[in-house]
Amino acid sequence: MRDRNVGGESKAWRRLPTVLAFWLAAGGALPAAAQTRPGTVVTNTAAVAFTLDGEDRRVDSNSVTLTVAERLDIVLAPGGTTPMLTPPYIALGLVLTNGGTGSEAFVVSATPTVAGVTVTGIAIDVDGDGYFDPAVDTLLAGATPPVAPGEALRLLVLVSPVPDAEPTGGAVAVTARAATAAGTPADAIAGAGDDGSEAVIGTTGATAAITLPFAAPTPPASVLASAPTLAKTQSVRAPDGSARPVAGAVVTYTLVASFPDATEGARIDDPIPAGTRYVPGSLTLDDAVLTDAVGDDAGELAGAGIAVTLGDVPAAAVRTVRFQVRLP
Amino acid sequence: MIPFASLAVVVAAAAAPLQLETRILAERPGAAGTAPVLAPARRMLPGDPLVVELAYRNTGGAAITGLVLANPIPQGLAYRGGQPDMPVPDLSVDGSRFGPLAVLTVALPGGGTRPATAADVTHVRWRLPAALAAGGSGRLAFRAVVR
Repeated sequence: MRDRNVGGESKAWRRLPTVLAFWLAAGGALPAAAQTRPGTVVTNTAAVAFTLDGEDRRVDSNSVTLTVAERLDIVLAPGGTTPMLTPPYIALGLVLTNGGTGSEAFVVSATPTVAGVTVTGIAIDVDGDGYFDPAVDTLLAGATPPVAPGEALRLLVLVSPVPDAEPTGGAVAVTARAATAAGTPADAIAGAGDDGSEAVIGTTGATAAITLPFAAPTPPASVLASAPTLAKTQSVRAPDGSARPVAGAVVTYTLVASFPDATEGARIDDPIPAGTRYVPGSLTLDDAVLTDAVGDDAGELAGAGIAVTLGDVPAAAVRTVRFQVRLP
Repeated sequence: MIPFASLAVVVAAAAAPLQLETRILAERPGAAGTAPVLAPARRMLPGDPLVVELAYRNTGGAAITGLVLANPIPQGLAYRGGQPDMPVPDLSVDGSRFGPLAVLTVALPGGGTRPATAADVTHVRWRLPAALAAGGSGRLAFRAVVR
């Protein structure tokens, strides 16, 4: 319903906040929410005062009237996370913003870009937590409810893996458009806007498209646990006996490699950090000193780093390599 | 309210010796290879630039003096600036004090003032020093933008 209290409204809009006033004066675009409501009637009337035959007189001009039209625009942005595909479904978040100047509903559609998944629905993320909670979040039955100009609507695209399909990563292609009209910018439909105003398609074509990715599920925990791991720690001893990393201090690196399963051809490589100098003869494997030379034992100083060949290690093996560098 | 200093007799525009006509214009692309032209605006969208034009004509038999033309900025539009090759109007943010934008201030809600910006302008006014001879006419304009 349009506010017909013209006097009160004209005072209100003149008290624009300083920031908006500066934007307008600088020629910048207004945020959508501050733009004139569609259906607002703009009337210009001028007047002239003058003197004729010694008499002061005044004449009003004609009044020229135009009605502000509604612009239709839309922006889509991803919700910010890339969930892993796990049954029974995952929710892909996105944010739909009404970039137009009037209240508008939007039609949203989503299609997977890979086989093996289906889109089971699109819901409004009422509590904004990025997860679909049937008790709170509402599934769309058609278009979205009307969104105010400049406002954003958080949506969730629900994706389920097809039973017995190989789970892979992929994406869902989402398109959204203004319900009133979409297509060629500057096209207009008389009377289709708010308050019977003209609806004009904005520069976005009142259409937007976005691709929301999801990742393949990682292997089960039992698979991950059997992979080898390498942990590296360091200790520093300065010439004065403290642990301050000053010139001349010696840094001892300790590399612990754990092999839950039997592993063939295991090898540890570690570059000498830039700016430090390897301390010759400091390379050890399980506290046994290794020569720096190539080929005579498991360890060597090769190129810009140390290398220790462990060969075939049995299950539950743990190997510890140490070496030292000196700070310049 | 049009702010004129003295209480004047308001005369019906059609019978008056001075006719005043206003138009709202927008830029339309010119024919291929020509500059854009100003034509009556058919549509207004927030952010659209416009030109508000005043055209005056002395339709009587005697010279007219002391012409002051005023245009309140309508609801929905914001003042942007003068039109090239035309006199720049005096501006007001309260309807009573007129001057260039640089001397105008706006009261702040918590007290004090801040310099006025183009978006604060509520009225524009031109004082024409020369007399307008019988049959004489002129055109004034200012740039505006749809809020």
